[in-house]
Amino acid sequence: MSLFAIEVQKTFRRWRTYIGFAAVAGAVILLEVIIKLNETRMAHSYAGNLNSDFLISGNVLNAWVISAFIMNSLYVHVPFLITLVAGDMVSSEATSGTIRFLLIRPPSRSKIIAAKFFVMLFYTAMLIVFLALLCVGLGLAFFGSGDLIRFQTGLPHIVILSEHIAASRTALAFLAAILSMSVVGSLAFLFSALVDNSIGPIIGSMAIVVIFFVIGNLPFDFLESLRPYLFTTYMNIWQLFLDDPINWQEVGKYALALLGYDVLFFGAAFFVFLRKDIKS
Amino acid sequence: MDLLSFLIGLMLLLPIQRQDNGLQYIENVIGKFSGIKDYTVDVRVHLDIQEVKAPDMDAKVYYKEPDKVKIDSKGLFFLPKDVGVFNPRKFNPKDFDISVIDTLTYNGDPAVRVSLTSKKDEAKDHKIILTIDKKDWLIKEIATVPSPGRQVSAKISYGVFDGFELPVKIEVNLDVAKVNPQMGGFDGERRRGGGVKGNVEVYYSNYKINAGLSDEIFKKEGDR
Amino acid sequence: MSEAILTTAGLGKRFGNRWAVKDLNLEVRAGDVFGFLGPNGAGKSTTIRIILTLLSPTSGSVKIFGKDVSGNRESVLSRVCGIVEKPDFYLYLSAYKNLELLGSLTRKVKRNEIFDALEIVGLKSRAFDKVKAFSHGMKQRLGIAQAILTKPELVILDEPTSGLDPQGMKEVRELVLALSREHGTTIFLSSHLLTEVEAVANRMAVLNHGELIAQGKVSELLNGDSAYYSIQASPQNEAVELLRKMPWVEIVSVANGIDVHIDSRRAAELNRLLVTNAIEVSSFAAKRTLEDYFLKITEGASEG
Repeated sequence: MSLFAIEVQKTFRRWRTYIGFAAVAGAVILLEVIIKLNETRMAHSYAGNLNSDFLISGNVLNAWVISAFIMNSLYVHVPFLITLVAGDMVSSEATSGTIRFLLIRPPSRSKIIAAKFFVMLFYTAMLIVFLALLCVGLGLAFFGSGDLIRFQTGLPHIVILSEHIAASRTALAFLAAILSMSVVGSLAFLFSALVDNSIGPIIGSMAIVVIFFVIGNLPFDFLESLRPYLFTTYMNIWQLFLDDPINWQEVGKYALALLGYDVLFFGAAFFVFLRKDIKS
Repeated sequence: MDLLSFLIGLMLLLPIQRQDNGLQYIENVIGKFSGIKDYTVDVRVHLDIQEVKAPDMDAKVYYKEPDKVKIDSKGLFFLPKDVGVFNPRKFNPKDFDISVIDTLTYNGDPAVRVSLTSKKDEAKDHKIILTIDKKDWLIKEIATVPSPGRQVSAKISYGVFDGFELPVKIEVNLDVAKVNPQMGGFDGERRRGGGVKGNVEVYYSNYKINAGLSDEIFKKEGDR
Repeated sequence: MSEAILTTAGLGKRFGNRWAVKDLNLEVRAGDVFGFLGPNGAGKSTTIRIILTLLSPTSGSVKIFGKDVSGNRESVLSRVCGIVEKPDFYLYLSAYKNLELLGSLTRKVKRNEIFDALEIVGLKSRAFDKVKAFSHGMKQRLGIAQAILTKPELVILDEPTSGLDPQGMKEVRELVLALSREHGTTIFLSSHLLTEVEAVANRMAVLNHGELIAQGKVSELLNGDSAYYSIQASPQNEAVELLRKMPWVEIVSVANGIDVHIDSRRAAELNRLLVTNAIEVSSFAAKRTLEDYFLKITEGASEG
């Protein structure tokens, strides 16, 4: 059994791991049911003042629009669910004492921390894939397919993506969301390697995410220079895939930044874990 | 009859005379269209608006007198509201105060510009100016001000279908309200409020005229 | 002499200004049941943590199977297993799954190997129960099961009877002896209970305040030392009379038997003396404890 498989079993046999999936399922189902119950009003509201100037036909509120809307939960809600597991990946072994069994075995600490990190990424990917399947699956069942209408990222412009493009773009957006969420996971993972309890990494990571978001969105010029250094600035990479056309240069920049933060956080966790004395 | 009474009478009669002329022009346009009880047409919309980026949109538009409209589209379809569906009957003189603005030559043909102002209180700001080709009794241009600060103008090109002259292309120029979708989370809210300015080209093809469309077609849910 | 399986050379670990372990030179030989003795806080667990790479040493080195552990971690630790401090398991997993996952960290373990290990420690019937339902004693036994699962050549047990009732302690000692005798496994066992070491160990080292104060064969370290013996002799009053005449015998008490304090090297001589004086000796049992020895040398060390 590979280290990765061992860590997967340890992670996915804990009920805590499924809190995220249950919360995502609950939230998506609730949201889509509420939207369905208010479909006509919300569709009209979504199209806004366009209704005054255009006769609008077609399925305005469809699976792709609903999915893009629910993806806004990637700013706070989903990160919290990811930190629940990522913040516990290393620290739970210390809390429970199992780290002593783990680290007296042949696999090196570098392999163990890497396996744990990849399992954290795997969990993150699974949660986002689950979110995607639920959003799109329920969306298609409740609202059907259609063209995707939304704002262009960073501009007050409306973009309409035709149905066949909307599906693939939504898939790309969810894939990009995995990268985006991996940074939150990596941050919680780093905190998890630093301390011997689970609450600290969860609260610490979420506090940083929220504070960075606030700093990144406050309309003060003096904060402008900070924004390029906040990982939260790049977390909306998924939105770029719903633009028309896709700004690949921007996608590349965001992806590199996010990967850079992943490497930075994992590198720090790796460094800490390799040198950590297990005194507990 | 003294001169003063004559002049007063003349001044009172002049507007009536002008309105009668405008009314006649509108009635001529509607009369030309009166043979059309219903039609279906394939419509393609090409948006050239900076604030709205969309692929060309296709739909089938159903029309039945006097003002029933139904749009069937596979995807999203935006049709400029005041000018997209060709229906001269909506300029029913009962609903408008009509006056002639001036006469002119339009593409070498005599033409007249007629102003229509809604009589309805709720639409009293709605003003329409039609440029009517007096030779063929066709509306060549429409300029509307649906509400203050919003302007829509359109140029209409016609083709002949089953003996009826109907639009093949309408070029619409929009300078209208701000778009304001309500959904979209943080991002949408931060950026609501852009205006819509630009051109819309509407192409019409494959007319089927007086096919006897059932009223049932127009009862179906679909238009928003 | 057997080859050295585990050696430490000048091993030291400092936490802040305090040396938890200082200049420690241990030698554990193949086949040993090596008792690592010391009072609580002596540095036993710290030493074991360094040996098993949980802590990095401040000074010195550890060699296992002749290889430096720090540079040959994987190859060395694949032949070693142990329990550090107390056996903590994944409580949400069954005993079987815990052993499967932990064993898989060393090598692929077969189903029957897991059941064999559980059977040895008497937990086969609880294989699929979640560990959270286990008592401390069961966890301790499961800890031994995981330690022997992959059939390591060296098993390191840190206070394996800690917190167990007398019956549990006895079972663990029997397990340790069985491992040594039946499988030839070298055992490194730390304890603050000297009776435990006496019961199972052939060699031992004594640690106090982080420093080694004695190391060698248990029998040699105990030879030459005084000890308490309980004698059942008949007639008892004649036996007491005889013993009082012997200046090298200190009679501690006389009740249902005679308790004496003598140099342990003269135990056989005393037994012979009684028998040759027509006194029937039905029992001659050592009441000597390693605690006495330990206290003596640790006190000596601290005085020195």
